[in-house]
Amino acid sequence: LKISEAFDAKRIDSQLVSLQGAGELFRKTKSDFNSQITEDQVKLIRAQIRLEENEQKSFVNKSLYDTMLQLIKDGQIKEAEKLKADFKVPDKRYCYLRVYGHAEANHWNELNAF
Amino acid sequence: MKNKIDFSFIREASRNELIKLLSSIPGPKAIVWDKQLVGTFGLIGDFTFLRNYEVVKMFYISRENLPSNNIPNIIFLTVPTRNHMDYINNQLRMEEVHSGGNKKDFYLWCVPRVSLLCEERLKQHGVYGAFMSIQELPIYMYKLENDVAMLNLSSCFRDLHMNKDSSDLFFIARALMNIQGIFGLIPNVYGKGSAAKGVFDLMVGMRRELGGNEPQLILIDRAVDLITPLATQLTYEGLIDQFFGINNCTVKLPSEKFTSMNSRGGSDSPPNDSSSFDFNEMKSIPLTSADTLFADIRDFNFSAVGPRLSSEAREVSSQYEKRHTANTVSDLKQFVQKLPKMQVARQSLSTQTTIAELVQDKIINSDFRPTLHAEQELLKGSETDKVNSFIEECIYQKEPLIKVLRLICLQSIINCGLKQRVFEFYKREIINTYGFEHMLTLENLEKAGLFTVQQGKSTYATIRKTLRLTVDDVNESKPTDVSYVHSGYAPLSVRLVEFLQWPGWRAITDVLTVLPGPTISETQQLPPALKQRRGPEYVILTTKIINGNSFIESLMENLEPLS
Repeated sequence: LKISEAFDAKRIDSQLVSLQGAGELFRKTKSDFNSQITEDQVKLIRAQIRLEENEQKSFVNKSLYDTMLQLIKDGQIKEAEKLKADFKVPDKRYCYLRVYGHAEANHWNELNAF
Repeated sequence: MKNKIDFSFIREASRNELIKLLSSIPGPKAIVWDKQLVGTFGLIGDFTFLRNYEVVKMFYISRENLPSNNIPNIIFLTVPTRNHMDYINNQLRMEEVHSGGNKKDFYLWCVPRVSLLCEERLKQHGVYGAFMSIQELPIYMYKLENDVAMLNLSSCFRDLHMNKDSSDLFFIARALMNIQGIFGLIPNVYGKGSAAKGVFDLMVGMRRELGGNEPQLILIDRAVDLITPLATQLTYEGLIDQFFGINNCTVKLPSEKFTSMNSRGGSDSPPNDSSSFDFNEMKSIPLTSADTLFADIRDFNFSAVGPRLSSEAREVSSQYEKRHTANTVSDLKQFVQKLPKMQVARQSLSTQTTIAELVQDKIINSDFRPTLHAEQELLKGSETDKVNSFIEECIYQKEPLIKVLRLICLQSIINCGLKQRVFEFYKREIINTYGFEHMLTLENLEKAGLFTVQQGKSTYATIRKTLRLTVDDVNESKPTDVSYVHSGYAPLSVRLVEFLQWPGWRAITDVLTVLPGPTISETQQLPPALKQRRGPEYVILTTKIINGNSFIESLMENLEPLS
């Protein structure tokens, strides 16, 4: 389990590698839940890198919900929906995010429609 | 009530140690402080005290170089950690370069002792030989009040229960031996928890025959009562600590609130050198029983503080009014004689009122009450096996992580671990909301047994009943039971001590050591609880005064995010 500390790596690609390593270790020690969470994180970083390329905005280092919130604020509902599906975000949680996101960005029409 | 054991001796002893070292170096000197130690050393002696021993400048140990100076003796005063050794190495080398031809002498003092690891580190850096001497400053305890002392081991709980590193126990045992050396052997030792046992074993090893046979010692391992530090304290002092943090008997508050007051209090803090110390517009206010008003209200439930302050205000102003009725010369003389005392009273009244207002603001503005409500529901043991909707809400709104963690840990402990499903839900939500970097913090909490999957049936309900941990009818202004400090919840640790006391032992002085530290409220309710019973006197030795926030913080892992 100690190896999960390896992820204070300084560069994004090496961070991915050590995260994957940590996930492996979690699987070996049979802590399924932890390995799942770690894999999710790898997935999230990949998605964030992809988003950064498309949007010219910084997404890496944000948590899943912050990422989604940012997308909603930017009106990228489709991307947000995609993340929701990928990470199996509960509906209740997603509704909250939509409300906060729209409210913060003053998208009153969208909020209404939603 | 005069205590048999008065911790003032600690201060004296520490001072003597310090003086011994200081006077061993002739000529003017500069002390380079470990930042953590500055505040604690304020409890021993202030800057004026140091100046008497030719300490002319003070700096911090940090990444930066020392400001240029021409002081021939440089003393590094630090706790022995590897990080600090690295900084010292740097500062020392730069200092050697800058000093030009002038030869400077360097000293290293470690509190409370020199560790082998640090010596190795210095040797690696190749500066081990650069010091004139490396010495220990064997100060184990610091006096906070006459009946409260601490060891200043802030990471004790983390070391013990997470890293399974028991070296702190050694310090505790040493400190206890020290006390016994002065006040006589303590024959009756009661302990609870594995850490308490560890200390006891060490002590037996160190024990010498000392004579004397009256006091008893109670050791409590914090792991026995994890609930209390997580619950919000509701005494006056407890709330100040909760919101602003009390460190070494001083609290730092925004100074603009106090502009109307004469400068008071700040003089107690050692660093006066503005060039190397930055106060960030904060004012330090000492909070000790030396201030009679504060001594009076510190243990009050906050709801009782307001009335007390206003009655005090009336008192003070009515005394002032007396000057109109003073007709004869002798009356006037009497009045003038009382004046300085009245001014002090007025000053402390205005300080305390301002602080009380600040606390009040926090209570009204923040979501303090809903949080407290949720907490008390948990303490009553209701619905601890499900996902708590209030906690869920907090995560959704991205409330401060510490607050969320406190509540979750509280729930986990009361329920003796959470159901797998609930546990995973919290964990996933926290990571998804606050970021993956908190994974390690959660791991730490799990290792320390604060946030776990359920193991066996919860015993909380039974304990709660037998020890009467929650009390429904609490009288907050005239407390009859310790549960007033949390408005209904009586700290487990205190109940244990009370229980021990119940059959009526004839003990005269008790030393109570709480390993990793009591919360302020725990130190507080002992006196009121025992006054009624004319029971023994208690003195408290702690590793560090803690509160829920600092407790969780000590277990948090700080990861620098990628940039």
